Amino acid sequence: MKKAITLAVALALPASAAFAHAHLMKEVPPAKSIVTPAPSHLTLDFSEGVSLAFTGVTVTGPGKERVKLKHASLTQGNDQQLIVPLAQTLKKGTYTVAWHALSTDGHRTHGSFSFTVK
Amino acid sequence: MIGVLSLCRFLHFGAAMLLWGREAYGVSAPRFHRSLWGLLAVTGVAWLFLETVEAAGTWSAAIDPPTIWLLVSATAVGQAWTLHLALVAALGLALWRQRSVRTAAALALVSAALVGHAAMQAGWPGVLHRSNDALHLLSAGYWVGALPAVLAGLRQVPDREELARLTRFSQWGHLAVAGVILTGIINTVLTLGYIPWEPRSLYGALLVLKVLLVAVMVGLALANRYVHVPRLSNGAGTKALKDLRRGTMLEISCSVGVVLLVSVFGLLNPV
Repeated sequence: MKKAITLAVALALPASAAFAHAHLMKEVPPAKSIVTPAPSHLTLDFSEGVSLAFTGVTVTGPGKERVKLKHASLTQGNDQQLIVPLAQTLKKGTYTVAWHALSTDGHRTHGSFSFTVK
Repeated sequence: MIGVLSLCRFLHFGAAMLLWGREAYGVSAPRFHRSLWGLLAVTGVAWLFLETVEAAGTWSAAIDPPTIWLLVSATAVGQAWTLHLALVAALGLALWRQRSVRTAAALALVSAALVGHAAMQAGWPGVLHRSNDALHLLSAGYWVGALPAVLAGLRQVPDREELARLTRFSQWGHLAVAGVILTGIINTVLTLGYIPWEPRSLYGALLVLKVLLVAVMVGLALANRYVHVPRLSNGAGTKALKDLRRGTMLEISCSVGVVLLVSVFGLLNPV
């Protein structure tokens, strides 16, 4: 009976919650952090290896403007870590990082976090 | 998206398992096997388009050649699937020339283990997981893929040739069933990291459902082998044959459910 209930609950879960593989484990600057001085690059650590060709971020600044980025790369010997150098110095304000990733086993995930430059 | 991709996977795995299972069983039906290959090839290529949609996150990517090429050339999943499609093409050639079909069918099936959850780890755990999944597909395909041919062989009292095939299937079948169970347990541990005695997620729930169906199938297979087959020669021939047919039919129904389930939960987050 317990199993039947668990099953029923599990089956009722929204599909979106389950469609995920390479999760964002750690990010620098950290989500919701207040940093000073402004970072020169972003570092994203995933729970699984990712394919660079379909993995990336967009960064939007306080005035909704798109922050210019340089080419992202994976850390040598660690395909779970994405490094995104910034092409400009960030001014004071809150920035939102929207990321998407394709895991090596072929699943797409996405999410976002924000940090503040003081 | 998940619905279309699941259906594509179901047809693709189904065709690959049937081809390997029927060839290993030793049934000769070149025309039907070429049709099955057609289904395998079409769903294999369709999967590439669907995976491009998945990777890029937009449906328009499916008709954008540079994006498809990027997936094929620059991602682990694209390269693995290209290798798989090459082996599917090799199977087509083998079927056309009617040479080395069994080996080619086995290779086409096992190479499907290069994508999906078996490919989630890098390094030696990745090699172990992929090899284990390859054995899982091979055992499951040997068992399940042959069942429709077995059912056809039981339509009437089997002749000597059919009996030889059935006997061999029944002997190797023990190994296949044991292999399915063992590699299934290893796959679960490598993918989930725990045994889902109680499902904690949709993935776990569907996996448990699959295991239950396989348990029913094992029961049916054992009943067929150790209850009904001995009755064949005990003067209860026609009735025993009817029971064998019914058991096999039920086994086939369960196996369809099993492949359908794995086609769906293979896309879900394994937590």
